[in-house]
Amino acid sequence: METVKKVTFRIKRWIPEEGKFRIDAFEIPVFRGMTVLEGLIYIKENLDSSLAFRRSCRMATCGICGIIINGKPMLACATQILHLNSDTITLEPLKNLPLVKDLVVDHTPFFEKQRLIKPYIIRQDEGEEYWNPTREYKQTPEEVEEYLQFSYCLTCALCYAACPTSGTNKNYLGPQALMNAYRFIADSRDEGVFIRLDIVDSPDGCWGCHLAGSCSDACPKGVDPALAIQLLRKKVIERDLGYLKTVKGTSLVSPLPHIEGAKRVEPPKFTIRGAKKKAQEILEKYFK
Amino acid sequence: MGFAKREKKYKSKYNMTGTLGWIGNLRMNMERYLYFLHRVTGIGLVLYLILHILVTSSRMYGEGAYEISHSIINNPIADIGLFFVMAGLIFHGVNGIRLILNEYGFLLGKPTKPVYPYRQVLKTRGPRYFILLMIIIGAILLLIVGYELLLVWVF
Repeated sequence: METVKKVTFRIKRWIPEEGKFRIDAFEIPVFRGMTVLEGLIYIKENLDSSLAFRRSCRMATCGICGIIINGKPMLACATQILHLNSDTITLEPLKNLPLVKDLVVDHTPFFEKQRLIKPYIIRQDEGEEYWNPTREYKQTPEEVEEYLQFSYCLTCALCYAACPTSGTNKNYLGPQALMNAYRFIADSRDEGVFIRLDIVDSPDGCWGCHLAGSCSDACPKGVDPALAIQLLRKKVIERDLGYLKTVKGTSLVSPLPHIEGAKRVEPPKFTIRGAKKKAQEILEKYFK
Repeated sequence: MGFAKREKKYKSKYNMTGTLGWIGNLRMNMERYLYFLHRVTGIGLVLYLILHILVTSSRMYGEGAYEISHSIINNPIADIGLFFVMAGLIFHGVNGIRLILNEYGFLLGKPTKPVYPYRQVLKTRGPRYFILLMIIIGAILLLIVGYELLLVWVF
């Protein structure tokens, strides 16, 4: 690859042994189409092997490489260096989350909050069919569009880092968790609307949002959490005014009569010893 | 060294943006500016309210005390200050109406298909025209306030 120019990366690194930040500068050669993540990998391979950062898929799908680039929360893999139009690029770890090392932050509080709003289909008729499903629930394309936009979330925590309320209130659920609550409330298969509204109806829940719109602006997938939070509040008001009646989820599709002897396809066997037991433990801990 | 001991050795902290984060984020969209101004004017109005109560409560100590406290604020500079308080009040009021409507899900429309280029509902015509309408209403109210204050000193 032909080098176009040289760019300086100023990286604000968290030094866990000292408990403070340190700014290191690295000059790297840039070729056309080079992303910030590739720049970080170049530094780790050639200049400083102790630099810590997170990455996995390199194509804006896993959402783990979120960092603050020139003051803006962005995905390092989806940001091209030449598009930034700057000779010096400042990199910082994500805001509003506990720091681990260099550019690595601990996403635990973020995922704990997502877990609080029960991000899965809740059914009143929870039985054998719910735990070992044999058929799908009915859903029209119009019903899918009610929540499809919100189901594209990567859980990259960029919205969480951009939110001014998350920056001052550690207990605030955050744009992602609230958006996810609305995603399941808007799902026609779900029957847990009152359970979720009880969780989000608090100053640390949907009433903590002040409509700064930064979450939607930061989102790399166009999920628009700001819209979801306002629609969530509308649902809370509807419930309080008594307009929201008991929600009945859609029924199961009819069994296919023309396939004789059809049986359920079993999931693949666990290849790692003890993985099944571990998976059952996780299921029991979080989903029961 | 055991794992627990090593955990203790390494320090971590929440990387919170804090109050400075109201404007500290460099990705500033229009709603973020309005959010910041709404907060600042809110704090300013509370401070003004305290000052206002202090001045008017001097009436409790007789007419003389009230006259003295009033003579301090009865000058053009204080009126310029009053103009800014009114500007803050008008902004807080009209932006508050926008927030009440938007925060209860009005004027925002429905979710769309996530097709690139992605649509942000706050950047669509409805909310943006509503901001424009609020700016016009605010400007008219501010002109009326300015005219009223000018009347006191000029005419």
